[in-house]
This record gives sequence, structure tokens and C-alpha cells, in this order.
Amino acid sequence: MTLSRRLPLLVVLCLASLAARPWRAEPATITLDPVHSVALFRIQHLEAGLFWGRFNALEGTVRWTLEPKDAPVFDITAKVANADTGSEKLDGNLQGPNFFNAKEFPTISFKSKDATAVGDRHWTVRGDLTLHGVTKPVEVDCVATGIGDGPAGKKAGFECTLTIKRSEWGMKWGVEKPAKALGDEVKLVIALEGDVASPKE
Amino acid sequence: MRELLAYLASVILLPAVAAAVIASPAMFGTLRRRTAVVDGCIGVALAAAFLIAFIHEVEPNALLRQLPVELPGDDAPFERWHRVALVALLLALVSPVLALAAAWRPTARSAAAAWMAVAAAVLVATLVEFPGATGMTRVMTGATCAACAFVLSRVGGVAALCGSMVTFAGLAVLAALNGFPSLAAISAATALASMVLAVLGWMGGRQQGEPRALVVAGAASTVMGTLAVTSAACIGAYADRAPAWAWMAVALAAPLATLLFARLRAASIRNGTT
Repeated sequence: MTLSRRLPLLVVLCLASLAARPWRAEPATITLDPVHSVALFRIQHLEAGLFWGRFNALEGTVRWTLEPKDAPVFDITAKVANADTGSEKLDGNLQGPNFFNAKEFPTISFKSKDATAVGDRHWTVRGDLTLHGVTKPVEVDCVATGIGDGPAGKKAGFECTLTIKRSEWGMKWGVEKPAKALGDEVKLVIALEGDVASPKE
Repeated sequence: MRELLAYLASVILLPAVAAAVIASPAMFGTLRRRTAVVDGCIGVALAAAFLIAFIHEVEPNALLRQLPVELPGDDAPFERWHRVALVALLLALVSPVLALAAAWRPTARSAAAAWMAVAAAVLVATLVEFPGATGMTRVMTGATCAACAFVLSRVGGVAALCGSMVTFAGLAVLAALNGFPSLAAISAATALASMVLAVLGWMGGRQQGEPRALVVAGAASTVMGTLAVTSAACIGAYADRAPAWAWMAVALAAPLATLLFARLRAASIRNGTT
């Protein structure tokens, strides 16, 4: 068979192989809405109650195709100055050098690296958490809570949870000295909502 | 409760005991007449109390991170407020030298104390850079260090230690009120150490019948002034509630009051006897 006779067959095979490849949508950029994006944290006080506080007005982006099987990519920042415990005195203590040391380390950030799907719109996301000037890898449980339509366009929401030991980030006050004043384990629940921009925008 | 008591014992009581152990030989017996020994021992004792409190409150690695050494397996962050420990370490190391230098020419002790105060000011202005520091605030901190150290060198030993006690007790309260419990504990330990040394100095004087023989002109005054001003500047750098000059005034208030009181008392004694 000559090449001229083979050519149409090759073209057909190429087109067939291209058609057989799964179509992957371009990820959209979701810009976080600070009003609806917060991180709640929980820590045990004096081995007794579980105390909740929050970091208001999270900023950053999520890159996601909006497809249930595709994992989102997070790049989130919280300002330590936005710590809110409901008590001005406690907020000042948290921002002070014994805890977050806001003057030297004003932000907390999370950048995801990869993810594994564990369900429909549910992933284990791995990435780097930078806190108190220390960057360490963490695993975060993330769920896409919904995609809705707002007055200004499409919105997407996520909820992420993780538990860390704060001493691993150099925040040791109250763990051993004074002993048991505050717990070492901190649970974080991060609620995110953002405006979806299409890939062309 | 047991944990809290153990914490207070290790961070506040132990440094004061260590200061007493270091300074006791110079407070009693014949060594009390050697001004260089008294001055050096009080300087080393106070700097050591501050340092021991810091190490127990924070961790030894926090001090080592301030030095140019590799710490295998240590990934905790470098924090600028930990520099107060480096200042205390340097003061503990140079105190004996300062005491010997001050005692070298007893007639020029005042001039020696002034030069040491200026040297401490240069050290602090160069070495210490807390968040938000500007050239002006660093010069102001250094100048206040020099003023505080010199003022303390002009009052009697027990009075200077009382001035140091009041200053550090005040700083402990202000640090606690400004969300800085670690520096509050370290300041409380230094206040307690100052009080213990003042009591030992007073007891030693009574034992020998020479209540005003304790000399702290040089090493001890430089240590007290430098640590007080550096601690005040450190609290001020992390607190938003008052300008830097107000924190300098806090550090200088008790030494100035002590000097004023000592001068008034001396004047009233002079007037009473003449």
C-alpha cells in the first residue's frame, strides 16, 4: 500500500485518538470573598473547655474547573491582625509575641500542591501551611459545598478542616510552660466562598 | 495548680536563687570591701537571673538561634524579641571586665561608669532591632540605656538595686497588660533577683556595720540600666498602646526617683548635722 493510500487512514486514526481523549476543562479562578470567607480555630483551655476563635476576611484564590472529579488548587492567606475571639484583650494576646507574633509574622498562608479525590467533590488536599514563620506540609480535608448564582455572577463554596499541633510551628507557650495552660492541638475549620471568573476573563 | 507552682519556681524563683548564690560571697565577709568583686558579682548575678528566666520561660535554642551557630533539627523561627537574651548573655560575660575597669582607678570611677554607659548604649543601638524600629528609636533606646545606667551608678548599691526592683516589677505588670506573658515572667524574675540582692546587701552591711559600703558603679549599674531599657523597648515594640518615648520614660522613672530620693536624703542628713 502506497503512502497516498495510507494517508486518509492515518488521519482518521489520529482524529479518532483525539476524540477518545477525555476532555479537560480549563480551571476557573475563584477569587475569595473576604466577607464570606473565615477560618475558625478551636483549642482546649486549661484542659477544660474547647475555645473557639476565628480569623476574619480570608483572602486568596482557588483554581478549579467546577467539575466534581477535578481537585481545586488553593492559595489562601489570613491576616493575624484579623484574629477575632470576641475579646479585645484575648485578640491582643493572640497577636502578641507569645502566640502568632503579628509584628514579625503578619500572615498565615496555605498553598496546595496536590490532592486525592475521596468522594464526589471531596478531596484530601496536600500543601504547605506557613504559620509563625514556619512552613510545614499538611493534609486538609476539603469539600466543595456548592456552586450558586449571585447577583454579580457565579459563586463557589468550600469547607476545609485540618488539625495541627501548634508546637510544630514554634508556638509553644502554654503547652509545657506554663504546663497545660492551653492545648497543643488546634482544629481549624475553613469556610470559603468566592466569585468564579471564567477562564477567558 | 502543681504545674503553675512548678512554672513559677523554675521561671521566677530559681533565677533569684541563682543570683543570690552568685552574689552572696561578695555581700558578706572581707570580699565586701573589694569594690570590683561586689560590682562584678552583682552585675553577673542580675544578668544571669535574666538569662536563666529566659531559658526556662522560652527555651535554650531561642538564645542559640541569636548566635551564628547551626542547630541541627531546629526549625523554629528566629524571633527578634529573643535578642534580649543575647544582650543579657553579653552583659553577664563582660561584667567582670567592667567591674575591674571601674575599680582600676577609684578616683575616676564616675568617668568610668559614664564610659561604660555609653558603650552599653552603642551595643544596644547596634545589636537590638525590634519590629518597627527606626534609626531614631534605636538612638533613643541607646541614649536611654546610657542615661539609666549612669543614673544608677550615682546612687548607693542597695538603693540602685531597689530602683532596679521597682523598674522590673513595673515592666512585668506592663508586659502582662500588653499581652506579653513571657517578658512579664522574665521581668518578674529580675525584679525578685534585684530584691533578693538588695536584702543581702543590706544584711551584709548591717553585719559589718557599714550600711552604705555597697558599690555598684560600673558593671552592676550598666547591667541594670541596659536590661531595663532593652526590656522596656521590647515590650513597647510589640504593644500598640503607647509611643516609644513613653516606654523609655517607664524604664528611666524609678532610677531617677531613686537618685532624687538619695540626693534629698543626703542633703537632709547634711543639713541636720551642720
